[in-house]
Amino acid sequence: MKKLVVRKLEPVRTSSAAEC
Amino acid sequence: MVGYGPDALVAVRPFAQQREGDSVTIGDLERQVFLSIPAEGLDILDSLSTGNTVGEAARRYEQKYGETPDIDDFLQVLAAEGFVASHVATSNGGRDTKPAPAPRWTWTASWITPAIARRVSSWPVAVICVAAVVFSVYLVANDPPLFKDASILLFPEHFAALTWATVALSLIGVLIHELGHLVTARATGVPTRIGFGNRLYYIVAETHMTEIWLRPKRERYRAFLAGPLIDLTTISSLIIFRSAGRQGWIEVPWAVDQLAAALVFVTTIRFVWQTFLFVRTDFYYVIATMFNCKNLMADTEVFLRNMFARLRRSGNVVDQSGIPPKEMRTVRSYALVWLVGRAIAIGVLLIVIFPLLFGYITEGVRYLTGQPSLFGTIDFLTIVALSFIFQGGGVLLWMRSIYRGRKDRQRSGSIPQREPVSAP
Repeated sequence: MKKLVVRKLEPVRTSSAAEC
Repeated sequence: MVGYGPDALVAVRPFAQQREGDSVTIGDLERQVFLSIPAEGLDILDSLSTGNTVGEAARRYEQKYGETPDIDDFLQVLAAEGFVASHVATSNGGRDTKPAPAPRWTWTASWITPAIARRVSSWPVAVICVAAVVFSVYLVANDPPLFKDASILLFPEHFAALTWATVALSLIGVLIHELGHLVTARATGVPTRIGFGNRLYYIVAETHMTEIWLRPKRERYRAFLAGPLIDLTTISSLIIFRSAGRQGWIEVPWAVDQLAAALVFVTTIRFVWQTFLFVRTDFYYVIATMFNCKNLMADTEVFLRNMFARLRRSGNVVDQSGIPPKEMRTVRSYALVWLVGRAIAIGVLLIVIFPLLFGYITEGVRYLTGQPSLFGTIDFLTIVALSFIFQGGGVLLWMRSIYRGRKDRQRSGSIPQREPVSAP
């Protein structure tokens, strides 16, 4: 039996630190 | 869960697709859920959506590829993610197919239409940004004091006013950084919005753009790198401005020059923060895309949890055999970055930040009980207020996300935790 692997993709949330 | 017999008919919800090597990314745009499936799995979905039975779809697959697909397992997973439902289930309203709720506290900046976004995220704009960066490097090489170290933040006069002004302008810089992501992602037609959240105990502004998975890699890189490019351009513009003042081309008051120098420093730190690959930063996404990872962070955390369970000889080990060997190599290397990076970040929290916050509280108690304290000055109050807002707030958000993550894991039936097998 050929297993068809399904993978969930991660959320894309680019970020920038508010405040050093 | 009931299996799918050969005579079963399956309803396939509408999905968008994007070819990616020998796999295909499929996305349910209404619910903003994106999966990666083998390219040949698409044949099965197409066959089912034209009304063929499960048995017929499997037979066609065998004819084309010469092997028998585990179609039942494939459909079970797709059903759990809401991409398919048996026809019986759909008449009952289906399951888990509600549209994604719009998160609170987000901003879509809908006046930036995709057409405007395309015009702004053009080559000429990128070339101007890069030219500004190159020019400012030349200026600093010839006049090193244009670039100050951390001591610039200890303003000798007007400390409180200049500190609050630095914070306010830095937050505007953060917003421009996020607008850079928003514009480049929106130019590709992907829905985007800006919100805020946390990475460990750092409070962040973030741009949601998960649908970018349905775009070619080139467009993804552009959307990820727009933020850092804007930071570098901000730094360069401020350096060019300060240089013009020092050369006498324009009149720059002392306080304005101090503010510009402080902003160069804090924006540089923000840029360096993007290299903290152990949390989801812009460069994290660049690296994950380079190595074709589908969910580097979650796969690595499962890998480490498995390792920990094996060491303790107890607990569930999650099957990661579905992850391609190449990607697992990336996961193993990244696990080291994850461990070392987070160990240092937590070390800084325990050794620097907590003692500082505790010291501020002690000073506050002394002030309230009438003992001599540092609390009498607006300068000290400024530092205390900023520390509690940004670092105290960040720690609270982090605690909340840890609590929610645990709760989600306990009741989750999602893919990474799908197949607990007992430890060997």
